[in-house]
Amino acid sequence: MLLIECPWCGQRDQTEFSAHGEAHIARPTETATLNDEQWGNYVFFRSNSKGLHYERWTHDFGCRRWFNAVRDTVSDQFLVTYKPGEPAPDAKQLTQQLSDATSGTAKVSGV
Amino acid sequence: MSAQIYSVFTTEAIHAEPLDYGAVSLSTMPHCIKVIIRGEHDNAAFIAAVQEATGLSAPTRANSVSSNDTSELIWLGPSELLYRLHNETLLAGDTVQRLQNALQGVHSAVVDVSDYYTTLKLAGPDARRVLRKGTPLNVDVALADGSDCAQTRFGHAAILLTQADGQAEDGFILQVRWTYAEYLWTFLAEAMQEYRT
Ligand SMILES: [Zn+2]
Repeated sequence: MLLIECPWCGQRDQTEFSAHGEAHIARPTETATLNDEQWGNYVFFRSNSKGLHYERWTHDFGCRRWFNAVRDTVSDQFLVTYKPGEPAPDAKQLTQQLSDATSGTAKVSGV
Repeated sequence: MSAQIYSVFTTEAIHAEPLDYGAVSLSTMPHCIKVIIRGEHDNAAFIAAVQEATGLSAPTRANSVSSNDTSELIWLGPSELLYRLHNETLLAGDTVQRLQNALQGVHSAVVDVSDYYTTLKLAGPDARRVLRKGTPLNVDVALADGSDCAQTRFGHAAILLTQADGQAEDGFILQVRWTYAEYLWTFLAEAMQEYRT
């Protein structure tokens, strides 16, 4: 059983949630001037990263709010979750926290 | 299983007598007025208007309830409250009107959902054990305090869990979309069988 930390409800079972793809993808402002390739990149292309991945989730069976999460796509570990509108946590810092945590020197928040 | 046991798994059973197995019982609650109130909880004007119209203090913690003898104000989200009013003579429309009047000029929305949901009561010393069979929620943590509530899952049904009279010992109130009520009832009825005395 995987627990996910909702920014409002706290730790809940993963079956209460659903994932909605990559987070922090800004819609282009000048859409009328985009060519097909640029528009295609915005609509279809994602980072597909191995390791830390910033993504959007909803707490469907709970408060039904959207929030963001940073998840390790290799281990499935959630490093942190945060409310929409809050700045994306720094990847380097999170990686450092994670390696500190696995070596037993610190605890990763939100895990 | 005997035919007698299967007889509780029907639509008719939901509207008939409560299931009373001694250590655990299941019944439907009388109809009550239910109103969704949308508005940002950090907007002081919104909170003040809701409190004025309901006579209740707005729940300040996530997943908590403030209540008196006849009504409850339930936290559903950072911009959403549920107002439940147990009154047989008042009309839901009048309650909506009262809230809308109080909220005039405040960014908000008031929607009557009285007939959208059904409420069931699961009570008795074994109620907590029965509840655990269908929900992944850590009931002991999520409902540690009498004023705690939780929206979660029971089987495939989305439920809102509150505590009768603010105490889990007095039973759990499960609010569910009425189209899921039969599913929830039959799931609970089946889950209760092993606690039958
Ligand atoms: Zn939540």
